[in-house]
Amino acid sequence: MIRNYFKIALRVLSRHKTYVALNIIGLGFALACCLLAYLNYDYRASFDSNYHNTENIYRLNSKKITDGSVQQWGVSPLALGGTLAKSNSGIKRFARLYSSSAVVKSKENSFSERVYFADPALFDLFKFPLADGNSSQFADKNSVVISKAFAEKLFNNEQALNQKITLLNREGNEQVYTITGVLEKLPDNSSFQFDIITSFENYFTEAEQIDWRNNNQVSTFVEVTDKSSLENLERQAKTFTAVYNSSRADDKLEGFKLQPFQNIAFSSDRDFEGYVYGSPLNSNPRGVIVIGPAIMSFLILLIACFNFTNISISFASNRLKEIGIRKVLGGVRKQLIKQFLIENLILCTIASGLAILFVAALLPSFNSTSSLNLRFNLQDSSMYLFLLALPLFTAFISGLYPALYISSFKPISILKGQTTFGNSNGFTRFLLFAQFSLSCLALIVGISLTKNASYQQTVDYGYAIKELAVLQIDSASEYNILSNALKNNPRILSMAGTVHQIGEGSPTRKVQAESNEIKANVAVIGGEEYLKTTGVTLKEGRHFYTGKSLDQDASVMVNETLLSSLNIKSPLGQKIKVDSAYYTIVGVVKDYKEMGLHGKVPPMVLKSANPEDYKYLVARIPEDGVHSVFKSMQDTWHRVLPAKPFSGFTQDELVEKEVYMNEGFKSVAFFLALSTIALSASGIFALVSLNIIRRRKEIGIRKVLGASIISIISLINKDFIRLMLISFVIGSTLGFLLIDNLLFRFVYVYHPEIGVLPFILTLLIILLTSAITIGAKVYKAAVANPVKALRTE
Amino acid sequence: MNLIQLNNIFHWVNTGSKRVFILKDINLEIKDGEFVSIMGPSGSGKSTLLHILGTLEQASEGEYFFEGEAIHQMKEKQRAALMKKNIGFVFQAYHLIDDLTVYENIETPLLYLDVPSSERKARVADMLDRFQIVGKKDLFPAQLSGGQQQLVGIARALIANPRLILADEPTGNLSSKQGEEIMKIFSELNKEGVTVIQVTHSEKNAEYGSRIINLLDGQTNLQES
Repeated sequence: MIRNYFKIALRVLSRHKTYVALNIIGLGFALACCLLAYLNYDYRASFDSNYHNTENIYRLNSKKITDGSVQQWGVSPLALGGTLAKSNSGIKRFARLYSSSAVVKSKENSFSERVYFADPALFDLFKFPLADGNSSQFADKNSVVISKAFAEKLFNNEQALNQKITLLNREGNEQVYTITGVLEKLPDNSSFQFDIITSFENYFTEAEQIDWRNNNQVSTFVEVTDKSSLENLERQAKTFTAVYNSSRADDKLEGFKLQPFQNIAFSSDRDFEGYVYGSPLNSNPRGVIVIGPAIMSFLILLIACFNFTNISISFASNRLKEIGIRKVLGGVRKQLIKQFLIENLILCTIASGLAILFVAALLPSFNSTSSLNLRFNLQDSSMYLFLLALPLFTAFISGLYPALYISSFKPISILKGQTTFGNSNGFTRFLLFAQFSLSCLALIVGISLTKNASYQQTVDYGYAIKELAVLQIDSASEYNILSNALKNNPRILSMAGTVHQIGEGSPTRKVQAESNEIKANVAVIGGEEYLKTTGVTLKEGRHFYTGKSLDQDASVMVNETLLSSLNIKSPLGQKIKVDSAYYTIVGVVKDYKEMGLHGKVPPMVLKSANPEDYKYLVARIPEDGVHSVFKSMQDTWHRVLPAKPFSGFTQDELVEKEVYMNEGFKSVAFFLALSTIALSASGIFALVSLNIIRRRKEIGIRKVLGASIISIISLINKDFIRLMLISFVIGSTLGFLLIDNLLFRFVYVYHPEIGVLPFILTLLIILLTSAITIGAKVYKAAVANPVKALRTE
Repeated sequence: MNLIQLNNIFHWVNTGSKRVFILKDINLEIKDGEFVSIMGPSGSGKSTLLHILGTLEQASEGEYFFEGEAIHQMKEKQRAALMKKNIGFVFQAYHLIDDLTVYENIETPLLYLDVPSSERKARVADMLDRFQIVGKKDLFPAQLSGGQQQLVGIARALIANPRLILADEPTGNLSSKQGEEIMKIFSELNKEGVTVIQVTHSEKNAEYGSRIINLLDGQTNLQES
C-alpha cells in the first residue's frame, strides 16, 4: 500500500512541475535557513567538545563582592594554585595559564602578539594535538610551542620546528626561544586559542609564584582525583582569602569556587545565566547571535509552511474528482490523509535535499561575512537527527491541514460537482495576511536603515572625522620622535598632541555654575593646534595659549551643550567649578559628536594639556589620502620606534562599528524582506489560481452577460488587494514602531526622519510584485473564451 | 431472503425554511440475482435512490436492510466496510482517476481491501483479460475512447467480486453501438449471478433488466416487465 502511495505521489508530482517547483524552492530555502541556524547553534553548543576526559577538571574562580553582590571571576590570584596544590592531596594535577602581549621577532620581522604562559600540565590536561614536535620539551626554559597558522605567518612553508624566535620579555630585553612544537589548529569554538605558548616560568619567577602580594591574576585549572573532594578543596582555598585580602588593599575576595571546565563555555558571555566575569579565555557568545538567526529562520520556515499549506489546498482543487472516486471505491478518510501526507513528505524530503545543497553552496560566503567557521560535522549524529526531523516536522505542520480539509469532502457532492472550496477560507486568508504583514515590516525596516546608511555618510560630525589619523603613544619622547619624523611628510597638513582624543572617552566630573550642577565630560586637549587639527570650530572667545601657561590651571573651554545645560548666558569670563577647583571659561566651541551617532553630544569641558602627558598624536590629512598616509605613518613608526609595536587608527574607525552594525541590520532586514516577499508572491499566485478555478463559471457567465475585461480583473483582485492593504497597514505600523522605538531611540540617536518614503516604497513593492506574479494568470482568465467555462461536459 | 429491502424510505433536503422531498415513502425489495432498471424523468430521485442503495448517502428516514443487516443503524465505518466488499459502482462519466493507469485504476479497490500484492496482480490480470484490454493496461484514461473508459470502469467495479453492481446511466455518454456492448456485458454479468441495478433514461436499455421501477416525484410505481 505504502509503496503504491509513493509511486502515485511521484507520478502526480512529476505531472505538476510548477506546483512542485514553487513548493520545493520555497521550502528548500527556508530549510536551508534553518540548517544554517542549527549549525550556528551547534557551533555554540559544542564549544570545547574537542577536549575529552575533562569531567574532573575544574577552574578556580574567585568570588568578589561588588556593589553588595557576589560575582564570580574567571581568574584567581597567582599564588593560589601552587600553594593549594602543595597542601592538598585531592588535587591530581594543576596548571596555570597567563597571557600578555609581547613583541615577537623572527629574522627581520616583528609582530605584536598575545603570548601565553602555561604550566606543562596544561598539555596533559587538555591534550592539544601537535602537528609537529612534541610537548615533552615544553617545560624547558626558552622552549616555545606555536600554532600552525603562526608558523606559516613566520616561516611560510619552511619547517618551523627547531627554528629560533626572539621574544621581548617584561623588561623589554630580548630572549631567544626554540620552537619545540607546532600546534594543530584548534577549532574556533574552543576556549583555548594560542598562537604562541611557552612555559609559565618564562614569565613569573619562582618567588613571584608564591607571593600573595603579586597582583597578577591567572587562570588556574585543577584536576581532582574524585568529585567528593570538591567541597573540602573549596573550603581549604577559602582559608587563603585572609592572606590575600591582607596583602592587597585594592582587591577583596570572599572565597573561591571550582567551576567544571565543561561549564566554562556556557558562562562566558553576559547573555548566559551565571556569567563569570573577567575570564581571559576565548568566549562563546550566545544570546542574540544564536537567537536572532534562529528566530529569523523560524519565521521564514513558518511562512514557507503557510505557503505550502495554501498551495497544497489550491492544488487539491484539481484533484477533487480523484478524492471523490477514491472514497466511492472504499478509501476511508484515514487512508486519504495518509496518502496526502506521504506526498507532502516526499516534497519536504526533496526540499531538505535542496536545502543541504543550498547550505553547502552558501556556507563559505556565510562564514566569511559572519566571521564564524561553521561547517557540516559529519560525525555529529544530532545533525542527522535534525536533518531527518526537519522534513518530517515540516510535512506534518504544513500538510496536516490540507490533508484533513481535503479528505473531509463528501464523495457524492464532489462527483455531482457540488463541492467547491470555501469561498472565503479564513485560514488561508489569515496565512496570506501574516505573510504580507511580515514582508511589509521587513521592508520598512530595510528601507529606513538604507536611508540611515546614507545619512551616516553625509552627517556633519562637527569635526573632520574623515581626515584624521591617530597614533597612540606612551610618552612625550615618543611624541617628539614621531612628530619630528612625520614633519617631513608633505601630505600631513598639521599635527597635534593630546591626552584625550575625541571618541576615545574622557572622564566625567561634577561641574557647577552658580546653583546648577551637572555631570560633564572633561577632556584634556592639546590647545589651539589640536582643535585646529581636528577641525573643531571655535564659536566665541579664544583658544588656550600655546606652551606652558596659566591656562593649564585656571582656564577651560566648553561646548554649547554645556552652556545650555548649565543655563549660562554670557560664558566668557564666567567661573565654573569642576570637582573642587574653579576655572574661568575663555572660549566656547561648537558641539561636535563626541559619542559618534549612538549618543547625544555630552556637555564638555576642555582643559589644556601638559605636553608631557600626551597620549595621542593626531594628524590631519586630506580626505582622499587618509588611508595611504596612515600606512606610511606605520612605516615611519617602525623605522623610528622599532621596539614598539604599532598602535594607531584612523578617526573614521570610531564610527565604523555603527556603520557596520547598520549594514548588518540592513542586510538582515532585506534578506527577510526578500525571502518573505518571494514566498508571499508564490502564495498569492497559488491563491489567485485557486480563485480563478473556483470562479471560472461565474467569470464565464459575467462575460456572456457583457462584463469587460477590466471589470473581470478587478473582480478577481478585489479581495486580494483589500487583504494586501490591511497587511500593509498592520505590517508597516509594526515596522515603524520597531524602528522608531527601538533602533532609532537606543542604537542610532542621530538618525534621519523616517518620513513617508519607506511607506510609499513598501506599498509599491508589494503591489508590483503581486501584480507581476499574478498578472498573467488573471489576464488569461479574464480574456478566456466564456464558452469553454460554461460547457458542462 | 431479499438482498435489499427498503422500508418507508424518505429523503429530503432543507432549502431555507422549506423541506423539499426527494424520495417519499419508498418500499422496495430486490432479490439476489435480479437485474433492475430504475426509470423516471429528471429530478424524480433516481440517482438519489441509487446513492442510498450504495450507502453513499443516508436516507433522512426509513429502514434499509442489506442481506438482512440493518444499514440504517450502522456506523460510518461499518457501512464503508460493507460497501467496499459488496458493492461496485459504474458512473455515467466513468470517473476514472486521471493520474492512474488502466491497471492501477482497476487495482485501487483491492488496495483499499488490503488484498496482498500477488493476489492483486492475478485478479487484475484476469479482469484485463476478460475485457480484452490487456494491451491498454499502461495507458492513462485520457488516452482511451469513451467506450474503453467505461469498460475500465466496469472492470474496476467488478474487481472486488461484489454482490451488487450499481450503474448510474452507464451508457449516457456513449454512442449507441458502444452502449449496446456495455449493456450486453451487464446482462452477462447478471447471468453469472451478480445483482445489477441501473438508472437509465433509455427504454431500450431498461429492457435488458428483469424488472423496471418507475419513479415519479420521488414515489414508486412498481411495474413488472
